[in-house]
Amino acid sequence: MSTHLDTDEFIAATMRRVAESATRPLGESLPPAPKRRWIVPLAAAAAIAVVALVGVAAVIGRDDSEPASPAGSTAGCRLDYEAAPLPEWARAGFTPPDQAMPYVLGDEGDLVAILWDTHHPLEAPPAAGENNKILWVARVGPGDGPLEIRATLEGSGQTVARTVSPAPGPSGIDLPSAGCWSLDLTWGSHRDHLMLGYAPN
Amino acid sequence: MELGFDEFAAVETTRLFGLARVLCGNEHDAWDLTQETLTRVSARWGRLAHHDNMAAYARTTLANLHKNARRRRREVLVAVPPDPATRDEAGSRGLDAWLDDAMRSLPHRQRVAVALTYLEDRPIAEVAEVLGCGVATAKTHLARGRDSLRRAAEAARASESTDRGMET
Repeated sequence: MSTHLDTDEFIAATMRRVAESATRPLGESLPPAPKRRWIVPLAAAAAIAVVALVGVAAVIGRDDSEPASPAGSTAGCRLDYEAAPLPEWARAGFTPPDQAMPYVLGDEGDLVAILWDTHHPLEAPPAAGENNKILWVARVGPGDGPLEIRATLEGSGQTVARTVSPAPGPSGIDLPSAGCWSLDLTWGSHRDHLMLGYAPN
Repeated sequence: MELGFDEFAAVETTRLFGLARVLCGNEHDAWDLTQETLTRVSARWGRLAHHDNMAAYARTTLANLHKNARRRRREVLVAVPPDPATRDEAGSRGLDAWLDDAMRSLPHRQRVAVALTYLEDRPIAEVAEVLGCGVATAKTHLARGRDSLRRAAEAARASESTDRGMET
């Protein structure tokens, strides 16, 4: 018995030492505190909901006249997104699983980009102390990463490449300018496409 | 006084990061896991204000994310650590490297159960809550994980004693 107690104390001491000696990776910012986007006044949120219900366009930002929806990206490029329950295959890690989240579903339905915010979740350049956080979840080939992103700015032809690894998974995707970006996505043998709007900052 | 997210994060970030470090086996994955956990808690904060135990909720989220990340990376579980540290390797990685090897060999639920118990001294009822199972099942996971860790710890201590003997 005393041997077990000694061994248990050795395990606990080692675990504490490992945990306490861990240092945050260089260049990483502090964990995200609730951003302004998570504390949108309830009145404003209610107003937006009412406006949506009566079919009147909301005038919040440049592209907000388009009704926000978590539908596929073929609906167009948005700056604001309505939160809705994720597809069942994308709910792992969420508690409760059916909580509403803003997201964009790929045209093929094989990948979602979870955006964490309903209002201007993506900005170019990113706001100070924030990043353009996107969680990629794949319906097919999860773990077949890295996720290769080829992003093209609509109307300009400007193209940039980004890689998320390990992927699909969490990422910070900063793009060089605001506007409507068309993203061709490849991971393993799988492909999908979606549109993301980056708001000017 | 109602606890705000900032206060919660100020208190819990280091603890969650430590827990994540023990679960992940490296600091980069641990930091990603911690950030993702806090992001999700932050996103739900308004609706979670009356949650009885925010710390347990955050740990449940962290454990679920860790399980999901392991699935994505197709971490292979084997009875023996896939790349057991030699004495030289363990020396270069530090004397505590045995813990990462031992934790890596444990199934997810056993890993979470022993981390919550040894590192945070959480009661078994809370371990069960985080694992999403009954207390009896949580006890089983803890007992199995504990047995494996004890064997690894005893081997590490024996190795350490041998090394000391060789130095003298």
